[in-house]
Amino acid sequence: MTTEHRWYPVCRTQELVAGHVAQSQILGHELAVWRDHIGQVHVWENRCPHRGVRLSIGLNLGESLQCRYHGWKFATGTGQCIHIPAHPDQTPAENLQVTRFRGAEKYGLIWTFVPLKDSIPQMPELPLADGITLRSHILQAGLSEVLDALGKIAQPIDAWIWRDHDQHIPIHYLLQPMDQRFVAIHSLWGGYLTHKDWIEISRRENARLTLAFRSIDVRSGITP
Amino acid sequence: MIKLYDYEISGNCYKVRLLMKILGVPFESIPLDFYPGREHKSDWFLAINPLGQLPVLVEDNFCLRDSHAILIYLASKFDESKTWYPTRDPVQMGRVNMWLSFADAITSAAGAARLHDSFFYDMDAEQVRRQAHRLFQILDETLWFSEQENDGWLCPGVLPTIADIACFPYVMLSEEGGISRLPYPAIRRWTDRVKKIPGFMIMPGIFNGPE
Repeated sequence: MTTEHRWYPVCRTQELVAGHVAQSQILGHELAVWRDHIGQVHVWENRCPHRGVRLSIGLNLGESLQCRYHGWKFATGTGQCIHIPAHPDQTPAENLQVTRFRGAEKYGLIWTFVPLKDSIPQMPELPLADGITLRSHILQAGLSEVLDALGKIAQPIDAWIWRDHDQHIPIHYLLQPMDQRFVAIHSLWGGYLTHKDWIEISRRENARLTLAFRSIDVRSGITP
Repeated sequence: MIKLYDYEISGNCYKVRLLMKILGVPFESIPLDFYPGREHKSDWFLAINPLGQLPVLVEDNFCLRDSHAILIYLASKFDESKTWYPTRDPVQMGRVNMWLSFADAITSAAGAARLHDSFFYDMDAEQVRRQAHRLFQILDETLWFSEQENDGWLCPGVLPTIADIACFPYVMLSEEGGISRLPYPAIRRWTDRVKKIPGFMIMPGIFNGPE
């Protein structure tokens, strides 16, 4: 899909509500994204190291994430297994760890990268203080089809960041390549909005994007 | 006592059990061998429900089929607050009824895909999966805006209604029919909320939420 070593958004900050485990994906890597009891965000591989069950169906206990299958608990921060209910008196081996990705919060989004090099890539620079996000759209299509549709309303700044054609609509569109089937588009509003205006603009922009991307769902047969 | 002709892993039976648990209504379950026994198509059961469908509620001489008709009956009879099925509020009642029909569509799409994948029913599985995705898109969009403007339930207001109970099971079981909920983050958060309703109970394939 791509071999670019860079940060991609994986979900909106607001979506990590208390006790929730969000499910996301980046470049074919399934992710469990969660906020712990002290507000720290964790981007983990969505796979229990024991039997491979998705951690996104598990429980966010605040200080740990608990797998649904055998109840193994993995500590916030390290991803280290700290409790195995079938062997409550044993200290779990040190190699029983969830694979973690580096996470970051910026522009109202959670970001991560797939480490293709040893270095930490630069966070994209956007002309936004701390962005206000609108509703994200997850499209069931490959990247080229999504870019064709996006081209109707926006123009690229780089391959993954687009700007609305309309000068009066201060929106950046940030692309999240999930896998061959899904691409997410996150909408960032540049500027201040009251809650009331934000809802109104969210509704308006949601309708506009739904219309722009309708061709994708018509082609796949989801929309008749 | 209420009797329920029941099948443990039917989403439509589960939604009725779930509401009875939430409302504290005692009942007796009469389990049928739906798969592989096809007992719901047996002569004795067709005499009770000629449609050959579960669940069926029986209370003395009163017999009621159709899971959503049963939800309406139970909420109207046993919920004194009149919030689960708001008979005193025609606007809200209209909205609940709209989502009950939507829940039937979910059953015919996501529920059918599960019958294909897990119970080996013969059908165009790709077609019903596409229908389910269209319904889930509408559900996700509704719930996203409900989170911003209300309390995140299907119908505006601070409390859940039987609309949430009716839509919940076949959404939760969708992966058993090959329908991923990865593209529906607002649906995923709503299912967490449903699991926090006091009295929530599980069925095979639908687990508890965080305490």
